[in-house]
Amino acid sequence: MTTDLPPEDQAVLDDLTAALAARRDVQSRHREAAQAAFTWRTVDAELMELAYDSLDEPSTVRGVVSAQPRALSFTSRRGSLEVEVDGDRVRGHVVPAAVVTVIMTNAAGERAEATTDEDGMFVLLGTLPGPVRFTVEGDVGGTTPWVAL
Amino acid sequence: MESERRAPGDVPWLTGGTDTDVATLVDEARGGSQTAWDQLVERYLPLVTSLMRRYRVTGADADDVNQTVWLRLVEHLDRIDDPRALPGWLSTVTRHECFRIRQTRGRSVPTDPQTTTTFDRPDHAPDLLEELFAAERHTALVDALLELPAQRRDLLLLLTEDPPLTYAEISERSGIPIGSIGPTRARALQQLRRTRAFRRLTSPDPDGSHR
Repeated sequence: MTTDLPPEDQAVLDDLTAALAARRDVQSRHREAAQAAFTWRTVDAELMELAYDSLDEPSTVRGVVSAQPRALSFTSRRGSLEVEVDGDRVRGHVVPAAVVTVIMTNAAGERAEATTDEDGMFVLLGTLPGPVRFTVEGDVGGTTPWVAL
Repeated sequence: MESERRAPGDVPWLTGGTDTDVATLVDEARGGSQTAWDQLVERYLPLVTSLMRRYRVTGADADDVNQTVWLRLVEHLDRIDDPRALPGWLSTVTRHECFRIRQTRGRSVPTDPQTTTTFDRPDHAPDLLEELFAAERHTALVDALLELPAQRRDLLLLLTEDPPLTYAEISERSGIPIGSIGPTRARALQQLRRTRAFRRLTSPDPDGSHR
């Protein structure tokens, strides 16, 4: 069906075909999830930084610790939050130690929460589908980035 | 079939305006505009998709990575100093999350420890740059397409269908006589190459975004 085009026109048409193929390739559920992510925009949240993730360890070290739970550490100017994912529970530690509420939320709005003991330790029973973030209430408080556990 | 005709309004990534640049979209999204956010998603979702495919992250894992990347961008919006760095930021986060999820799966299925991969410098990996440049080129081409009059744009859309359509099908859907498709295609491509988006793409250092 194709009549010959000048090479430079053909090159543009080929590029355009690739560009449109990449767009047609996008799954609608990924588009919907990406659009819905915007509802989680919070302007004034105190954001904690991800300071450590055991998955980011070099492979030599990871080989040794691979049987260990996933460990994550978040910090802010006011304190830090350590969590360990072990099967279907999440253990954690708030520093400086305080009795506060820790909430784990996923993008569907499902949540699990726990209150720390006076040493700042807590256990969340159960996990949530999809990426989650943690919010520590109180003076030490803050909200972590989203992480896929 | 007339009912199969692809109208531009049915194609999500054709709904964006051509004159809205990324800096404006980022500003508007910061101000709370879901519409601007959705346009950013249309612009960059193909990049995220192609990276997940490249790293063979599929199914529920791809859902998790995709969702994590966009949630991260929502958090990151206020910290974007240079919107031109946005594709690079998205690529790095996507790659990193693909890597992490593969590690997680590797841990839960500990039968083949040899398959784990270490990425030394995520920001400068050659395959990442390749995907990034392709994505920028693709974005510019789609922008260029949006600058064309509707009839020519629709013709080019029909000409790039996968699997390819015959001239008879294109003629039926576009209303352009078969004998005119060749010449109209040539004019449409010439016009595409004269668009602002295309000239920005092909000028030596259009806006510093590759530097």
